[in-house]
Amino acid sequence: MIDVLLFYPDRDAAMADLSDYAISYGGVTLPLWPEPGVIQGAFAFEPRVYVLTGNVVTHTDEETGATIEEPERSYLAWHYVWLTLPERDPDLEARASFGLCADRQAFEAGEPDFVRAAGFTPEQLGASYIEPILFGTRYPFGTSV
Amino acid sequence: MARFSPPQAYWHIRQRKRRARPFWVAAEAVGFYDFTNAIYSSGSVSVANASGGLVDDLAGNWSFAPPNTLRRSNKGLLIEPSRTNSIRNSTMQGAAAPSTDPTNWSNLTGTANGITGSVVGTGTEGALAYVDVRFQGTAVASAGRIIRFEPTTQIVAALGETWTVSSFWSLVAGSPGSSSVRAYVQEANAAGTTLANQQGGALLLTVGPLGARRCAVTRTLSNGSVARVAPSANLVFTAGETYDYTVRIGVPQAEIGAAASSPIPTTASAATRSADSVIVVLPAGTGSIRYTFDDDTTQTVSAAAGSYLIPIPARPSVRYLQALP
Repeated sequence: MIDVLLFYPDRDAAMADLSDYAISYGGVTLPLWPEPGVIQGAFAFEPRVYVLTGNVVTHTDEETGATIEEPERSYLAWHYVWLTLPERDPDLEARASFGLCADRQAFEAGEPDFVRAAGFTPEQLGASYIEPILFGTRYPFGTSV
Repeated sequence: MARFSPPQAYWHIRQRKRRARPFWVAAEAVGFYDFTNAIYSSGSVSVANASGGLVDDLAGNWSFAPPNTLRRSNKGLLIEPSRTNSIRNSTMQGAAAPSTDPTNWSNLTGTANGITGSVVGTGTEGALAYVDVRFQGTAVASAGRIIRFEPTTQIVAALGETWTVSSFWSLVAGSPGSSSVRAYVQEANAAGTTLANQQGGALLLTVGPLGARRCAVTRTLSNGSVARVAPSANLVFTAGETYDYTVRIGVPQAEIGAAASSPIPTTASAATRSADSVIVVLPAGTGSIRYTFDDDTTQTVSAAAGSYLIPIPARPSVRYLQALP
């Protein structure tokens, strides 16, 4: 399976760019946007992407008294769309909104070039965390690529 | 309703599965789909689901179904919308005996209200990750121990959203006495200060399959200043009572939705499970389909012959589907 990340200035731009996008499966065509503002959850979702600022923030729970320190995050001001497709789509990879294309089976098999195409540099991928991730995927974005 | 005359193949399989529940089909049915036994009268059943997901059986055992496969068991076919578990670590990464909480969790170990919590170990029961925790001591007050699965500042939420918080609990050893657990959800502002809270019904701590013992609470966020939601469990003790028991805690979940969906294991980040877009080929003459759910209730919706995308049903586990004129 091929996972594709696209990014847009906002959600309206994403819906406009992908207004006709659909995948066919089992004799049925599944549109990416079955209705405005509702993405096709079988093969797409809308994550956020953040980077770490290098600072640490401390939270003290007023009820339990527990203190937790965490790295501070900075969320990038883009609207992201994650698609999972049966195979690579050259049309998507040619768009200005293209972020990356990763081969899930290749990654699980340990192939180092599992990122088949990218609109980001390796350094950007290594510093950018995707949230939420797609359940079952274990791409190392944000840690090392 | 009249009993359906099954095709020969169906009859043979039913003979081998003597414990299988009888499947009654309306006399006017033009097709049927028995998901508990994977027997279909016509055509094929396929699914698009980019992530795969977990599915439970009648005994409460959860297993993993790979991407683009039917989430099917003897309980039926699981058909759910996409959901996100916003708890980043629902598999207890980082937990260590005796006193290290899982990463991002708090108040699981240590002493509070006279009761000491100690991690005994971690593992998996089927597809559910768990942590075993021993609670011992004499409670100095009748109070709950709020076990946090995330800091109150972590999960971004908005006014009007409906959230469900859940977790699995079973008894491993000892006697819990009057102790019980309730799912607990709090509304908080951006600084993590609590604005409102709600807890679910009491789940008694009993021995048995972890996957069949889940507590949950659902709340529609109502405070005008809400900016975060905090998922927890409230383990309740009675003043003066002495406790020494070990519980198994599995896969806590915080999701937007009016009921808990199948558990979504996470390790370091929130994770999204894809929707199940199930497609059946309905025979000629179909005008509607009737779901029969795992609790024997039914739902009928209009449908047409040919490749047909099954709408997300009223209940997630579909035992049978009948195509009706």
